[in-house]
Amino acid sequence: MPYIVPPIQAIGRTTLRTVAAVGRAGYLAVDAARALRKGSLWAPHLLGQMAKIGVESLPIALFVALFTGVVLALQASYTFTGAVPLYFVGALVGKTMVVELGPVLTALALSGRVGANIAAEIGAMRVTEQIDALETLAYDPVAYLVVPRVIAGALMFPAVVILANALGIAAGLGTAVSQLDMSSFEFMKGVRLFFEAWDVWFSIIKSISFGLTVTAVGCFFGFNTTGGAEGVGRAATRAVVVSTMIILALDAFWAATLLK
Amino acid sequence: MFDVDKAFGSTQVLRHFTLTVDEGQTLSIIGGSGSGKSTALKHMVGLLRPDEGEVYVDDENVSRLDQESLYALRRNVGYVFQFAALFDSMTIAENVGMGLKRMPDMSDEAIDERVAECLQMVGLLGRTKGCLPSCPGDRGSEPASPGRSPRDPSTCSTTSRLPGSTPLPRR
Repeated sequence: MPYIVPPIQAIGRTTLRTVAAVGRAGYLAVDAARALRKGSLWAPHLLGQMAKIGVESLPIALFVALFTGVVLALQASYTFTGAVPLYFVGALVGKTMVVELGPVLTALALSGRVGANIAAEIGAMRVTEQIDALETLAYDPVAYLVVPRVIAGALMFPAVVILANALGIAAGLGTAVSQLDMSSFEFMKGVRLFFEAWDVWFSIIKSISFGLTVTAVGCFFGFNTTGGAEGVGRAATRAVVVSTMIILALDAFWAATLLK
Repeated sequence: MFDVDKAFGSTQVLRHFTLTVDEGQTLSIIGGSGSGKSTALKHMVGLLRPDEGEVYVDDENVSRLDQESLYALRRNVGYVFQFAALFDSMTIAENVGMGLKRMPDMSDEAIDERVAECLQMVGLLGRTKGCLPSCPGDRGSEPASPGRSPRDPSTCSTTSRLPGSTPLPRR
């Protein structure tokens, strides 16, 4: 059965690589937790990272939210016309934006912008020995590079998502009023109909977990970059792919655990 | 370094490698590409840990030090990387001052003074605000040497193949 052996070997190699990667990720997480007490190393960089991860990501996040709100309103109208009162368009746009599409689409957009950027930046530092240089200068590279980025991600992702949610709903309102012959009163009646404060908390909890994921995954692949410029490109790509998969899995996890 | 073995995957880079450097001694390690020169030096500052054998610097077993003790040791070691490993997001002055900021007894003024002194040594004093990509000439050699040794460390290591590189200042 010689034709069976190569696929089994390939599965074995992939399994071993994956398990080793999970182990390295665990070590990095423990090092990052320990590095929290070295505030003098990470605190000076926190504001800069918050600006880079949050403020500079606003244009793409709001762009995504704008068109999401427009499309939601149009598709809701298409679905509900003749079936239920049209103010349900507001209910669908408001609920879907806050509970699902706002946090998830924002996180997916930012995994490309923020995650790839972090992986490439730290990966380039790894292949040019700048991280080794930090170590020889008695800087803990995890405290210096990873902690400010991860904390900034946890703080700024919810802020960006809240703004994205608001713009998405506003875009839906604008579309409903201009294209669907609805009044703003009708639209907002629908938004308030199914609104619960817990929806906002749910959105924030999800965005914090997505922010931690995107930044931590970017840092992990950056730290483990090998192979020069090609390796940096690979790290950036893997950071986006893996963080996308984790975001979608977390999305399902939070829905299953917090929406019962 | 006593009887150090180090392998990367299936490639054995160091095998029973033993080296003693006495205080005050200047030593050059010469070897072909891939022979383990950089690997040996990295063991001395704990960037690598040996598979077998032990490494001592100033009577400390480097391979057994915890992280904080390792950082304390590294404050006394100047290390210049083969391709400079300068922080390209920082200015020249910031690169030179990086190590000094980790010294607990140096004020900001003392750091600025020492940075200026080091840049004066290599003729870069008027260029302190410049970012590295705009530094002309051999960008590896000039900022790298003072950048890695402005602390007057007791031990200096360089993996450099820099043309015309000068000896690093020593205590």
